[in-house]
Amino acid sequence: MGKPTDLVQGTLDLLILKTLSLQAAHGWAIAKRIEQMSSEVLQVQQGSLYPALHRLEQQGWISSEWTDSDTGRRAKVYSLTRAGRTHYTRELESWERLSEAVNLVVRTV
Amino acid sequence: MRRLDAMRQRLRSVFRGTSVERDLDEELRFHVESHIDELVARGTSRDRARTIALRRFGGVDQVKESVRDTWRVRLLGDVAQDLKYGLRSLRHSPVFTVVAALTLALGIGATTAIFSVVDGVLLKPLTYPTPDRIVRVLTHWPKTGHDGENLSGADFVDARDRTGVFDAFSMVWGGEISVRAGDRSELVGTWFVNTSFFDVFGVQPVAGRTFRPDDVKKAAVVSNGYAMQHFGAASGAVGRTISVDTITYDIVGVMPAGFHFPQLADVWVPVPSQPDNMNRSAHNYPTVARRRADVSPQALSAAMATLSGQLATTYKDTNSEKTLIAMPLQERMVGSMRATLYLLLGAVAILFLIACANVANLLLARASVRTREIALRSALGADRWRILRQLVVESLLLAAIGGALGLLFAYVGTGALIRLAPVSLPRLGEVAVDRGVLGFAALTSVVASLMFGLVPAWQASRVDLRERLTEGGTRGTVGGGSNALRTGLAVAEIGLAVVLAIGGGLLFRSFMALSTVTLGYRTSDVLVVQANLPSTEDRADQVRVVDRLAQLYPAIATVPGVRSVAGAVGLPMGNSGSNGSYAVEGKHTFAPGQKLPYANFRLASPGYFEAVGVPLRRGRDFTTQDRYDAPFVVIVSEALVREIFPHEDPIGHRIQCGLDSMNYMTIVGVVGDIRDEPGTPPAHELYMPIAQHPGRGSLQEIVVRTSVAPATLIETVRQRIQRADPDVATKLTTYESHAADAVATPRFRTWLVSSFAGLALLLAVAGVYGVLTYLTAQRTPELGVRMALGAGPAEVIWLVLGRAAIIAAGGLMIGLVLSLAASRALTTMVFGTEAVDPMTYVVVLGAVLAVTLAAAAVPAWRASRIDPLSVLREN
Repeated sequence: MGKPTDLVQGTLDLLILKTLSLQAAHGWAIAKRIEQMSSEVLQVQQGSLYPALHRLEQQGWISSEWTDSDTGRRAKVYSLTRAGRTHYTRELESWERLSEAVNLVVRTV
Repeated sequence: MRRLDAMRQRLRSVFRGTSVERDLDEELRFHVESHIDELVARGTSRDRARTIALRRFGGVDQVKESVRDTWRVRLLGDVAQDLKYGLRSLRHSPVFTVVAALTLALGIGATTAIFSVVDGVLLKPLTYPTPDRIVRVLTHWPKTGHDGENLSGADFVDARDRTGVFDAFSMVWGGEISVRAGDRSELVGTWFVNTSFFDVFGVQPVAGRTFRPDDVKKAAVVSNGYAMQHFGAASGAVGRTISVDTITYDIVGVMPAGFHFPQLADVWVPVPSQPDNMNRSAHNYPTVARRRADVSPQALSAAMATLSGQLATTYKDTNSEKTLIAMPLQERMVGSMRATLYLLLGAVAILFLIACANVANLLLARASVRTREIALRSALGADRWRILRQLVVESLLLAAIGGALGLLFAYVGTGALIRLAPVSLPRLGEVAVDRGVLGFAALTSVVASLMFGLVPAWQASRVDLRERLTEGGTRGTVGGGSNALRTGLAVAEIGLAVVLAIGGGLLFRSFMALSTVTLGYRTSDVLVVQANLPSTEDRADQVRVVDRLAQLYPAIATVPGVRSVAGAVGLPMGNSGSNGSYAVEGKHTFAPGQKLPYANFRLASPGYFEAVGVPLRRGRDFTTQDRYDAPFVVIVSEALVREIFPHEDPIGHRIQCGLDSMNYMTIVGVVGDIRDEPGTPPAHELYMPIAQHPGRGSLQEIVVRTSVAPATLIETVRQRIQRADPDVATKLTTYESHAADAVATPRFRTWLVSSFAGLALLLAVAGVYGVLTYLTAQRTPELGVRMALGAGPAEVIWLVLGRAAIIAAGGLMIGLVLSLAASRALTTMVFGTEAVDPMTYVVVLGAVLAVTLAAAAVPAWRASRIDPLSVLREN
């Protein structure tokens, strides 16, 4: 396993939406899950995670709620809104189109 | 819902910054502590774990700042993005942007310039403290609806002393008369007032004081300008003296710059509070007064009505047909201009509407080109609201550019208006592009953007996605409704332009009629010298003064280029005039209750009629023998003869009038009719020798008929008078400039409305051209098919022209109906023609039809050149 890869610009949003589409989570958990799901290939720049979360919340794709965590600390838990779910589907489609297209190009001999 | 949540969050970040900050703090701390916990669970020491976690996190403060950035960007982000996008899209179509912005600038600029005049003249309150309490007291004649400028002496005293509603009350009469300061005499605007005159206005002097009751015939107050000109400074004038009509006055005060009431006043001198002439049928005293603070305007009117009623019962002979009224000073000053100014505002509003319609049409055409871009944006997730907003922001941007340019136009236009405006337009000095006018321009721009922007934006945002994206080519349309909308706009433009053109045409015809109407006297090649010598109440002295002025005539006559010279008092269109009742011996008497004929009283020297070109119809001119001690004589006008002596020879009959004495005067001649102003019918005229009425002869209008351009002689004549009699104060003008002033108001409105009409037609024709070009381009495939099937160029041309004819016919119809409805507004301004003048209507309608068809010529020609083959191949 080589050095963890930095996220492609703009894909962090998609990964956050993906994570939240499975389960509501707080920031720390989101970062951990992205890293786990990508088998540690993708490492979330923690500094860019929170601006992204707040931006998505402003845009109305996700919403947040304060809950008491198992360690007894108050945690801010994010979940996908209905609009966010639609948005996620659309983003996913366009991501698939893009990656297919890129694959097509790079695999063509 | 989510929009609402986001809004709430934004508000929280603005108003409750600290609590949001605390939340952010806690969120980030939770993250770092979770990381530390994890590391500690794996066996790292707590201190080391903290260092690792913090380093991994990458600077808490930077993260916080980036999060805050997302809040702020979101707040302004949408608008900024819309603006940026709007600017870019305007920059990408420079021709559209320039044409639209200039059209708007024209509309906004013209409207703003006219508004600045309306605002300065009509709307802004007068610049005195409590201007609403200053009133003019007038003599109202209910039978004719006329508001007489003057009060009779006795009415003046009763209104002042018997109503109890005024704080201050003053007569104010005068004019340009000879004032001597040091060893210089000149004609200065001098007004005779009561000592409470300045209390009426509540204006304090900049130096010295205003009048006290014991100042009568002793003290004078002068304007700031007069003080600067003659004594170098306001304070330098106080304590100096000036002489008016042989009385010497001490200057006790100087009024601030900008205080000029009446308009030309430079010197005010106090006269006794008791009027000289207490005759109730002689109206000699213009009056200003100040309403008491505890008296309402209604109570004031009621008090005046009560007094008028009492006077009418007590003095049946003189007061039964008149009432005394108090009118706010501002209303009296500007009331007569209101109709003209509102007419101009209406005219420019029409121009503004046409400009907006034109831009709306441009936007519609542009929207149809942009349908694919808009479809693409909605495919990318922009909702309809967002696209609508984007388009509205673009309209606002366009309006802002147009408004800024328009303001530039307004500055220039207002300057031009001030130069063009009639001299008699009151308060012209207060016209300026100030904060109120700026606000108006901004408001106009926003209104404009809504008018031209909303409908096209609404249309464009209704783009049907699938249809647009799948349709080939760029010839997408915005849906069937928009062609009708576009044609409708063009029809409306033509209709509005017709209204302006008919209005302009009517005013133009009236103006031509006014300008060519025979006044009955010559105004060209005549120089008018106002000449004044100080005079007293002593009759022998007055006779000497008239003789001295008469000696100037031969002196002036020796100037090369002068053909003849004569004196007059009460020159038509001049500054001094007198009129009143007269009685013909054996036909009328001056007994109470008698209905007497009315005439203008004019004084003239021998040779006057020849000098101003009034023809002598019968009898003789005055001669030098008609002296004060000779039998009194009079010359009458034909209008008087027609009515009083329909079947007899007037020569030899005797007349008396109330000019100064009740002496009978024998009619020795009859002269042609004259009109004082172009718009009025000829009145009865009584001409009397100056020498026989010396009490009024000290301020004369010397008429100099020249064989060269009169303006070139002004300096020479002035010097010649100066040499002949240095005591004479003079002011020289050409008679033509008086005549021009008399028609200045009609000329002003005619010129402006005609210009607006011309611009409106130009815009409307450009609009028609644009619409037809667009529609023709849109029909190219259809036309191509028609031509392929055998239609000739002529048929195609007729197709396009037919469309133009429909637009023109619709526009003419609307214009006709609107014009007929609006003609009432013009009735007081037309002269020598009817407000619904068939000739004007026919000419305007024909011309509009012609130019509309001409606008269609280019698209029609282009349509006829369509190559059917290439069209068919393209599709």
